[in-house]
Amino acid sequence: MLSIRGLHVRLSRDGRANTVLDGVDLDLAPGEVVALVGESGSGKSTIGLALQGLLPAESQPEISGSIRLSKHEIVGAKAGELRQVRRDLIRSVPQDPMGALNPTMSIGRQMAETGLSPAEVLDWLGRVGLPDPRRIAADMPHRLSGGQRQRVLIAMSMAAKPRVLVADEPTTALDVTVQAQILTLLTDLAREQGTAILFITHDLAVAAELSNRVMVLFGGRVAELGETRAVVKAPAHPYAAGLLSARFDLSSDRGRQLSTLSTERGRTRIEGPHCNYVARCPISTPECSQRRPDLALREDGRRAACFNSDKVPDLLSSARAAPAWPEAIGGNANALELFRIHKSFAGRRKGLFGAKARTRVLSGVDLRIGLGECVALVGESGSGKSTLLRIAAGLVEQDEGDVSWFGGIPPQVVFQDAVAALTPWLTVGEQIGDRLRPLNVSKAEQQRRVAEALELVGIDPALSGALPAELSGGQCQRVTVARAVVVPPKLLLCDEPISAMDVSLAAQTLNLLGTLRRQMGMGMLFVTHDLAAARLIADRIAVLEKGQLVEIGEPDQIISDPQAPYTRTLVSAVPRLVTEEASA
Amino acid sequence: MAPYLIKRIAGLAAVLLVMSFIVFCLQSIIPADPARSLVGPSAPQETVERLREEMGLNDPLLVQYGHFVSRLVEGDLGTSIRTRQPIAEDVLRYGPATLELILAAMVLGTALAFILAFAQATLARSGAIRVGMLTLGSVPIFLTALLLAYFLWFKLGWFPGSGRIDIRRFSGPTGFFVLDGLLLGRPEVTLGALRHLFLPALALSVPIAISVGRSLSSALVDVMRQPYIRTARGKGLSAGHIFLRHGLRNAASAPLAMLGLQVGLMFGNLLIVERVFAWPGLGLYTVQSFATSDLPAILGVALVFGAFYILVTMLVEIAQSLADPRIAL
Amino acid sequence: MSVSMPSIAAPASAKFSWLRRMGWLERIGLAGVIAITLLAIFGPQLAPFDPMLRVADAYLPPGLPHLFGTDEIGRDLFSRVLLGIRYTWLPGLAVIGIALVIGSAVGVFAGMMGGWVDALFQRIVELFLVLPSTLIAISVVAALGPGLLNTMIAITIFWWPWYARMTRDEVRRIRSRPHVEAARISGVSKTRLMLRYLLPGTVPALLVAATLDVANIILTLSLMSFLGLGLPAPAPELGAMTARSIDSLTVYWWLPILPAVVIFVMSVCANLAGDGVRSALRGA
Repeated sequence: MLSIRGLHVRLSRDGRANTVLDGVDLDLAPGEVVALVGESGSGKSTIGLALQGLLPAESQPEISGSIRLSKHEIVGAKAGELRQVRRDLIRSVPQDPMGALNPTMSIGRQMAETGLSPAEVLDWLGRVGLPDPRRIAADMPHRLSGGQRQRVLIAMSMAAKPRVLVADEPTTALDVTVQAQILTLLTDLAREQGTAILFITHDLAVAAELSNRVMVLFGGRVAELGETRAVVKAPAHPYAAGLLSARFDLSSDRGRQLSTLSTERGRTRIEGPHCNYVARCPISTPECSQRRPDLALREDGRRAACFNSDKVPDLLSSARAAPAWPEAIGGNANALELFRIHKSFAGRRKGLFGAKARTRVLSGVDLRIGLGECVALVGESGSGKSTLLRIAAGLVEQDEGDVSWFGGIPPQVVFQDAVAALTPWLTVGEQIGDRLRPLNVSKAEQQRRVAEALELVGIDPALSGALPAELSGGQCQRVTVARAVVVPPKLLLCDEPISAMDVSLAAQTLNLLGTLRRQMGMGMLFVTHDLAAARLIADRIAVLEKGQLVEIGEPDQIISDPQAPYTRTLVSAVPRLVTEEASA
Repeated sequence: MAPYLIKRIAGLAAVLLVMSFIVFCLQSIIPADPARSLVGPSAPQETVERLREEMGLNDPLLVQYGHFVSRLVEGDLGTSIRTRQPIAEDVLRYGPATLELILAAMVLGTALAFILAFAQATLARSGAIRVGMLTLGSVPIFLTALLLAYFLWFKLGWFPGSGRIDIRRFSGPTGFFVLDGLLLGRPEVTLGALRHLFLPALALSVPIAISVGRSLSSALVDVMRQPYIRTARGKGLSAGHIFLRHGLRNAASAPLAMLGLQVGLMFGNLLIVERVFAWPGLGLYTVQSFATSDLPAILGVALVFGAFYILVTMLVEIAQSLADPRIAL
Repeated sequence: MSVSMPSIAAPASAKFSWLRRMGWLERIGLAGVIAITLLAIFGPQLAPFDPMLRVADAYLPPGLPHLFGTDEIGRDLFSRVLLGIRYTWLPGLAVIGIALVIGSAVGVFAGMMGGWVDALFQRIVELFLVLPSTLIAISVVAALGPGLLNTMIAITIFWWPWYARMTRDEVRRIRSRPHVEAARISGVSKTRLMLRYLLPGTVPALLVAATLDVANIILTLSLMSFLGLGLPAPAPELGAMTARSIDSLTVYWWLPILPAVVIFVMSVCANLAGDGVRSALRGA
């Protein structure tokens, strides 16, 4: 029904044109769900936009190849035909529901714009599980939660009974507990109406749960294409294998580090007559840099663009033997003690003279972290976990309660957005070196210790003269870690350090942090919404719900036997790789 | 809404109070003795002293300020040295002409702003339009006025170049001649008034058109990149529908604020335009007061303009909240 | 976080890379601004005739040797305009400079202090911004008495709050960014935090605003001069020259028009240069 042939897209950024998609072929049958998996920048979102003819005009897209849907050719179609295709045949669900609804138009009017009657609008709002459709239809978007908005957007798209639905990471911006419901809703509606879904995601497990087939993209080229079950069980491309082995879930081995198959990312050359994965590939041969591998059809019906795909199974089994964690040096003392922490924030004033409403964020939290121990703090957005970290860091004053650090030494923090945590106009070396200034060490000694710290986190010390903009995001994260440990702290606070990362980068960061805190005997507070990451990195997990610690204990105990109902929802919301579990 | 109005009116009163204080301070630092300037240089010293006492000029400054404010509240802006008339009466006489001009300039400016913004958004040569707007925005207002007068009045004779109307001693019920002509059933009056209005209004509207147009076009560029515009396009809506229903309203806030700000900046230009086109309004009145150093008149007009500007700011805020439901009043 | 796109943007190693980011019109504007500044400083020495004396017949139209013609008493208009550039351009730069110094100092103070100091400061600035500034500036000069210095003072009083607010907002914005917080946690001292981690971030926005404002100041100054609030009569101020000869527009057009055109040229150059600075800093 939908058929993409030789799709080639170039987009310009800052006046430079880059190849974003490089010869992509795909067929989609009615009712089929195909997952597009790849890291950010792999071109997966571009495919979705190209299908709808919505590539942003300001990036001057150059498209060649063919996209046929029913009897329409979308590449090079006239504006009128394209509009008709978008209205009737292909719809989408966006990544971020918060910005995707017009803030100055009521929900009902936005739904009715494509010709739905008022009764149909109400019916659809009900079908996507929104309570009180009449009220929602009259409401403005800013009064709805993210999950509710995503339901509205799904209703808006599915009401057109499209042939194809492009779902671009439709749940990444939502809380974990809502994610599963939205995915179920989406697939159920698609099944009822026979709509095919192109499901764009960076998470192989989510793809495995939902899709019939999976297409793994790297650098704008198809790395592997095949039955989801088969690909997840035994990938034939080293990139897919890397994605798979770096992935962690609730059944990964806690005793050892995560395996990361790709080497430190160099500059990936996307274009040219060679395999574009060669710079990161652990099994590359000279041939790979001379010829571009075809997306060859294998005897099991799958396609993989690799000359050496017979070596991939060995690669996977070698990955299982990742090194164990180093021995932790610790002690009996507490690195951090939080005692009955209370915190509330002032909200809007009610009326002209009314008191300001106060929102309780934390009510009576007790937490102790020993030297060398890691406690993971999990909870969804709004649970108060970030506030607790900021109080522990001394960045925010608590209303009541006590915070004490081992020896009174202030802790260090690793932030979520590493690029933003570095000052753009100061060199890496200056920023790390500023930690040493209070120690009054000599200039040479300072340089030596900066270089040492950089080496410790796996960065070439020659880069100490570089500005943050010259580094990749992953390198920036390592630099912030180096800054934190150049003078070893007794407590390291990590604020969602991996939430914006691709799997392989996340795995590398977890390995780095887990190793350092053991070697240096630091206490560590690891704030995350990802229960699987929490289980891997931490000795204990603390679950925070609405400002209260509802559960704390050993990771495996919490996961196998969650006590609080909230923990149970969290546990069940973690996507697992079903196939791998069966085979293991 | 009600608490908003209370808040805004309180704010308005506060700003007016500050303005009146500034005006009062300016009045009291004039080196010349107002009593002396009223009776003339030849009057005996005791007459001046008596007048000083009567005028309350010997009271402490704060008391004088209190008197000043209470007179303001009664609508007494003092007496002009030049016209020997109460300033409030002068304001009522010349105000309608100026208000007519300001309104015409705002309407014309907004219309031109739309044209410029659309041209920049839709035409391929948007760079040329940007440079054109930059150039037009660099023209000093008196050059605009002079060039318009020189070509459209003196050379081509398309529009009259001075005054409000050709008929001598015309006066109407409202003082707005365009409106008066309609009310009195004399279309020739309205037509003549419009013809006279055109050149000064056009000169005044150029800065408005440029700044509002720029602000509108950058707001539109920004809005048209928002994800909800992509959602709308993804629904297969036509470009015109998306622009009108989804784009324009969301882009309204910044240009509206700019329109209000331009009213504040317009007063200086008003003086010049009324001077060049001999428009018998408050601007010309003020320019003539400069020539005779009639400070009470200048400050009285300034106070009236200031109050008007604050009113406009309030209207702008209300309009913004109507355009965007997220801005709560 | 753009993890996957290792930034390949060339580091600012190339000399004059900022110049290359400008369009050719913007470069012309920048050159114009430099030329005008030189003319403002050396103009009187370059003037072909004495600007204050009768050197020819009155009302000669533009031509040779009197490029811009002569005025009602036979003074050379071109020489007078050259001197007039000085009286408009240099005060304009001075006003910007002083407003920038006051504004950024107040803005940094309020932004760093926060709390009630900041709140009080914001109310004061709001008050300044809500008052019709040109109007009050005109009233102030009318009350203090006309003169260039009074005009400059009056304009500065209403100009610095814009920079103060901008600096304050920039300081608050940068302060709330993680990198400043990260530096604070790293134990960077207060003064070093402010000088190395905070203030450099406010410079680009202020620089762009100030260069774009040169044109505004020129126009405002010439407006005041036109209204007779600048230097007294014989001085060749551009706005005043236009104002004094406005009634001879239909007979001796060059007298009011040419000084105004020179103001226009200065303003265009300043605007273009301001745009140029903006594009130059965008890439930095």
